[in-house]
Amino acid sequence: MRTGITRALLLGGVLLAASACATSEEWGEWGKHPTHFASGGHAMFSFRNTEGSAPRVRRTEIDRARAEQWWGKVITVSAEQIIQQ
Amino acid sequence: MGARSLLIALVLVALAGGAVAAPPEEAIVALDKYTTEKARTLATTFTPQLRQIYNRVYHCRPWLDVRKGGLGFTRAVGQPGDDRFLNIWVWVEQEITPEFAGLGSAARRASAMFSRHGVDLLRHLAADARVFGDPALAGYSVILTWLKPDGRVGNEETAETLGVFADKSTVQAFLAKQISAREFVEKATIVAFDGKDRLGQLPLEVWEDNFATTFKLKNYEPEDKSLGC
Repeated sequence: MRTGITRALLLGGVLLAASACATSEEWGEWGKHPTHFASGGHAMFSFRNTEGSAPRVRRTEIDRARAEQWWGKVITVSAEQIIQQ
Repeated sequence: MGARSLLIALVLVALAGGAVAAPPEEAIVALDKYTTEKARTLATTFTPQLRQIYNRVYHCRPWLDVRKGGLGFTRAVGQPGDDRFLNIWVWVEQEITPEFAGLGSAARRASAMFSRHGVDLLRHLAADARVFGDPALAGYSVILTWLKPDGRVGNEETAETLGVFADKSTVQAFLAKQISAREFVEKATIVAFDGKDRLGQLPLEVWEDNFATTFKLKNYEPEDKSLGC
């Protein structure tokens, strides 16, 4: 458990460090680094698979993880503002 | 791994949190929801194709969630007549990285999103020749929604939404590189929202981005091998 917590905190540190290093020149960086915005889920699965179990993640597991981590409301457009059925 | 450490990991990636993928029976517009016979006929005729598109996006693009009622033969609000577009509306699940936040404007974020996910989704929509050839189909539309960087208002996050509607010949010509991205944008109808608020004309740019076809989510394995992800 302690190792797991340490790794989680380390991951958080990396994310924070990355944020701190941000500049305003990312527009040009976009094309150079095509994986800049992948699903955040990859961090979780990398983390989880360090325990020695078979490294295999299914879509249903991704859905379950997202459902568990989702906690808030989002201000967003309603379907009726864009499309009609 | 203990449950507590997993929870911490989940919290750390919680900024990426959004909607959860709707199951196909909710994502694909139900036949009784259509308001015209034209749309209902299209949806009935191409039920297998809708399911195929759903499956391919669900399994092959696990960073995208098709929203409820987000896949079907819909029409753009405010357009006269009954032009039907094969539409897909997805939530883009992503971290708000410094690079994405640093894009700086709604137009740039929308351009990045469309270049990365929108063009790829247009390919999915336009892949079936029978659908394309149906005279009742006017075009294709892609709607993308994602969390806005620094968009927190009280306890709520703000999402940005981009909708791109284009007639099928324009989409086909664009995907075949017979017209430029600029021409495509000029011919398309583009709508954008900041939260619930409609934005004005958005200067959308589109460039090459092979993320969708090259990025592999670590350790991810699609259940359905027949899709050829």
